[in-house]
Amino acid sequence: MTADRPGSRSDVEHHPRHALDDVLQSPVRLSVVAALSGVERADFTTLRDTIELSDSALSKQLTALEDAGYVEITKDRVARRARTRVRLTDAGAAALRSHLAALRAIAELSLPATAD
Amino acid sequence: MNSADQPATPPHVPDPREAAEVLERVSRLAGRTRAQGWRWVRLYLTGWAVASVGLVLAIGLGGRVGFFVGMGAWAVIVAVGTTWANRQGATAPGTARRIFAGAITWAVVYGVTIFVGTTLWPGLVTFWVPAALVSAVPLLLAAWRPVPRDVTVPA
Repeated sequence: MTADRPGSRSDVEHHPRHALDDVLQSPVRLSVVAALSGVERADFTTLRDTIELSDSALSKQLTALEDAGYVEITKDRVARRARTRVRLTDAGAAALRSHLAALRAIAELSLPATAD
Repeated sequence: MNSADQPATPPHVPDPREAAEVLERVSRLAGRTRAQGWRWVRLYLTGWAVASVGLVLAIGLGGRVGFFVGMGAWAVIVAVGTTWANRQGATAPGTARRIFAGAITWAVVYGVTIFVGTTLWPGLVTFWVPAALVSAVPLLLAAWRPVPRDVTVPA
């Protein structure tokens, strides 16, 4: 193996795609986490309407995010109606920051090297 | 690269243009819920401020009838406002702190205004109109103070 040849293992491992978060690679899960990142918490209806998903699709993605420890789901009652509220955990916020940093690095790969 | 190095189902790797689009979408979604979270807080505190002006005027200039009408209307407004606030779907960061700060400051200003006004200048328009407007200031400040910057997804 040659470490300094373009396309070698060392080059490949430094590509920012390796910093992308596996859970957030799903566009829907990333949308849920992004919507939650702007608020302390949001209810199920707000998330569903913001992301424009069906109830079942959102439920499925929330379960996946909860299993990953990225969101915390609580249920309460308002005027005798059950309400599901979702909060981004510290782990979820950290994963989002890291994922966005990787995306920014990938986006910058397209910039022409005008300084050279 | 050896095929053994590849994961079984490699996730789609965005190209630079796709990555930029995803970043833009993330920023837009975060901004949308955040704006929704702040919008109702501003409306809630502004409504409370307007109601405070009415309450102080009713107590100061309406005599005994004004007191009872004002307090009755206030009780209804507080009940409706609290229920409405509890039903809001998005809570912006620092909402509880902002409402608490506005409420505490308002309570102090309101208490002083009512005590001084009813003791020294009952029914005096030149005191009660400015005093009613001043009672709204803490709530309006809490409502319209600039919101903190988002540190996770900067716009």
